[in-house]
Amino acid sequence: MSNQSKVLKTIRNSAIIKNPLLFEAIGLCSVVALARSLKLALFLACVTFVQMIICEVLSSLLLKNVKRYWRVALYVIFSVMVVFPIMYLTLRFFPNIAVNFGIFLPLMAVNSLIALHCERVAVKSDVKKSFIDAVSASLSYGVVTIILGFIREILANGSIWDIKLNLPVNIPVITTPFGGLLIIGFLAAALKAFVNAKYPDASPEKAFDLSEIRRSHRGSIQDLMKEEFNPYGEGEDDVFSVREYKKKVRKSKIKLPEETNNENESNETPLFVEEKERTYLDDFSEILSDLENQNSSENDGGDKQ
Amino acid sequence: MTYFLTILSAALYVMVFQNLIFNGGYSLSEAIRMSAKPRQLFPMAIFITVFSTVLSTICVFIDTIPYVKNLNEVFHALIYVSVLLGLYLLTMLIVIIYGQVSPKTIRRIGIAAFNTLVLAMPLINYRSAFTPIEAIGAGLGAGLAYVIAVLLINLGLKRLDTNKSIPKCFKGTPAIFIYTALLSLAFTGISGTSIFI
Repeated sequence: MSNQSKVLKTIRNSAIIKNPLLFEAIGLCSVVALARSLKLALFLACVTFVQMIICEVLSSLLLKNVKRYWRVALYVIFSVMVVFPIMYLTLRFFPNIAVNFGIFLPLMAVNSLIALHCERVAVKSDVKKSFIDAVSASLSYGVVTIILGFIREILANGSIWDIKLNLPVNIPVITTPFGGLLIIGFLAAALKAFVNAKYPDASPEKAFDLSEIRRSHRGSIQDLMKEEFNPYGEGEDDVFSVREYKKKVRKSKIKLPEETNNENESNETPLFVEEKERTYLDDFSEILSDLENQNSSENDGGDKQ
Repeated sequence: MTYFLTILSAALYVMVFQNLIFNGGYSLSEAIRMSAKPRQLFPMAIFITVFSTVLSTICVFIDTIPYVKNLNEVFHALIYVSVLLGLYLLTMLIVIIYGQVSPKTIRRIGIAAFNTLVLAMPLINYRSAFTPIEAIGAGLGAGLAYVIAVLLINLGLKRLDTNKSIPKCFKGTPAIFIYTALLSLAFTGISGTSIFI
């Protein structure tokens, strides 16, 4: 697969098929609460864009050897480094926007979108791939945010960029989380219809796993704590740093995706493929190669004698 | 008795009358995602309640320091994030010393600590000028609000999953968003916010 098509595939996966907002339901808080007008939505999209790129690039450069429980805290520190100067400058130079943002600007320091993409892509990839993922995910997030802000401003205030349209009816409730979620629901349906038509093989449903919804929430806390917990599908490298985990995996003969030379490598590919996925043909070829090695060593010994 | 009633009224306020998740939008992503994993409801709710209550209480006490009181909102928010980071690291230290460093526990603590619901608590307390007792009530209420949200969304998910008349493009997250929007509208009604005027 050429480099260009790999890049296009990464963009397609991050921005469309696994759209963070519409299919993965990530980073909803700030969008639902803040994208009430075009101005606010544009500002929010710009902050997220800058934050996402800086955090992913820094994570890719610095955090590959860091254990997960430190990494999670460091993502917040990176976000704080971006969000708080913006908050300070906004308060100083654009007090109206700062008032509208209320407490939601500092809350962007714990945006789940950033932590998830850093954990899923940045710490497992090179800087280039992390950068492309950050740009595509934040652009798709930004586009949805801006469309949402545009629609909500028209419906709630009857204006676009503060220019009155003199509409007969305004619906102020659209500025509440109800309005945000309702419009996001319709946007998600529109994008899903587009994906189904354009990429029939891609299944955006996979971005939100519904297989466990019928399980009971009851049980002893000890049992519940033992249940598997991977709500965002981030991989299996929790306790160890990524490099430590890869070493451990190699020792235990588990195949890594880069070792499998899989042409269909994409974001849907699990990062670590366990040995149980090996077929009998793999075992058979391994036995054959062992026998060949044995024969050749015996022949070498015989030749020497 | 007065303390108990103060805690109860603050908890009810953030749970029902101004439900932080449906009316405020805090932690909506976590609530929607966790509603698809009901087995995780109580472990996550316990961690979120502990983090929101402890952070809320510590920050209210920090806000009473005269030097901190005079700082502007940016520095207040910075202090709250620092306290949250400290709290997270302390929890991790306890978990490591206790010897329970399982991937599941680390994931749970990470998601519970760094979400908007937990960090919003001290910011709401600061803006509403809550007393320490009210802050404890609000912290507990935040955890319970999360439980209510996850249970209500999960109930809807089960019905949506079996409903065959939903068009194909609305199946999955689009239907979940619209259902959550209707729940949010119900809580907006409880809070007394005007809808069409």
